[in-house]
Amino acid sequence: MPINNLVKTPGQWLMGEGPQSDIVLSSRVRLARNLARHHFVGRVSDTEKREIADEVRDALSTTSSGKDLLYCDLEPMTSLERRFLVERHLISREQERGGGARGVAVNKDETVAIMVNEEDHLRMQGIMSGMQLHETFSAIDKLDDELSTVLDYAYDDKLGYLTACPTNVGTGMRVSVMLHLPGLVMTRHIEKAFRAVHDHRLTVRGLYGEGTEAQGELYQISNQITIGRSETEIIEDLRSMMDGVIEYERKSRERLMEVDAAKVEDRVWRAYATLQHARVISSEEAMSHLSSVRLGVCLGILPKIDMHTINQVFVYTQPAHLQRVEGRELEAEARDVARAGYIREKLKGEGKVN
Amino acid sequence: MYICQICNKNPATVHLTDIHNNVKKELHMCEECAGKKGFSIKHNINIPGMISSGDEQPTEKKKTGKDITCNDCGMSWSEFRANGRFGCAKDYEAFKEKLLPLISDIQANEMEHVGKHPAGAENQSSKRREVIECRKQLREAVEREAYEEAAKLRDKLKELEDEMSK
Repeated sequence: MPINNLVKTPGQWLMGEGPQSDIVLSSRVRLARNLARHHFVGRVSDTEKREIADEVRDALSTTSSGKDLLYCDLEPMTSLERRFLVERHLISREQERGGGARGVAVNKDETVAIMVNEEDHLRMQGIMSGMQLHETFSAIDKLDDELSTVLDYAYDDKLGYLTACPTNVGTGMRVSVMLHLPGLVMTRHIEKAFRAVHDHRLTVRGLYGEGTEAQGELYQISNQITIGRSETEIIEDLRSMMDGVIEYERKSRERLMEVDAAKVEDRVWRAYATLQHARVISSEEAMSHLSSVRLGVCLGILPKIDMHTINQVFVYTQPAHLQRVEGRELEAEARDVARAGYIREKLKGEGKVN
Repeated sequence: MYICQICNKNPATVHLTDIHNNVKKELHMCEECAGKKGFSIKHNINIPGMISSGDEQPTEKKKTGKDITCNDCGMSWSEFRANGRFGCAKDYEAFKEKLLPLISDIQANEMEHVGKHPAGAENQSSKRREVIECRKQLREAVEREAYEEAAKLRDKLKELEDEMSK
């Protein structure tokens, strides 16, 4: 099973590198494409789904940027394995729940993932650490160009790429950034910031997309409009709006430290102490404390904890990751014990005060 | 739990913190009073909900008595409206009349693709882009009241559009 190898190294997007990585965890770009000769995924038989998957895999193998991708067939996987891929942001929850032949082709550092037979025949994703939207787009743009020479895409000169849902028609592109916004949450300015975001036709979601609660003060912001502007314009629109939100977050952090430094420091140190010593911890509690610790490191309250370590713990303390790390299935209560243990181990030797 | 500081009745679910000149002020309100003060909390726009306007569909169908169906995949317009997903790419053509206003609605009045295109679709796309660019220039010229320039652009636009429809 190829996904066994994935657990050993976290994806590149968790590295905590790239511009503004103190606030921007990751940049993501997704292109939706369909094959002209087949009906959309929701309207094809299992046999045809298999054919589509085979066609895409063949096409990938003929392209220079697609031939080295690792294809994971989702159909024979256990639900735990699929959940693991969702937690890594390699497949969507829709893809996880779907039926029949479907899969995902992933590159080595997990910056590129091509979902096959999700809502559309192809969903090409680029994901990178920090604010790197243009770089992320480039990574899949080239592959998309190459694939378009071997696959016959459903494309209309006027409407652009035709997608199963009209909310994606045109560029078929969804661009998103994942932001850590504890300052705006603590100053209770988050609603105000999000109102401005909504007014710009952007959508806010939690860490794991549609319908998920925002945990750990992590938010994904993405474009709603997919037609009428070019890919570069869509990226620039989102980026300039995000510059505003990031600036607002920085100001909020500064204000908090001016007005309520003791309270912030207290929250950070308590969170750090809890994570270092807890024996049983739920995912929600862990996320909340990790958020405080992450803030504490950015504000210089806690010295020297690798951003990469904190980002990684956010994902590796999710249920499926925890069970893969432990190498066995665990009930909820046992997971809370394993989670506490994993975090203690990860934070050992980190953040020592000199 | 806080009680709304405005009506002093309902539990406060909206909390505002204002920091001004290093002084922190907190205001706790119930949703109703917050709404009156213009602080209503907007929830995410539910796009699938906008597309599938749910239970009104069967009546609409009954009223008009006819439903468009795609010859290729067999999906009907009302079926699409019910689940928000097309059956095949040809639905875009089959449902065109009803669909374009819907797309315009969910896509902020935009209906023309100006982004990238697959290999081999260059010719048409570049012409279309020229048309869109020309239209934009025309609009700007009119705004600037540069009517001579606008007249030229209008002629050029007509030429381009004639070429496209050939």
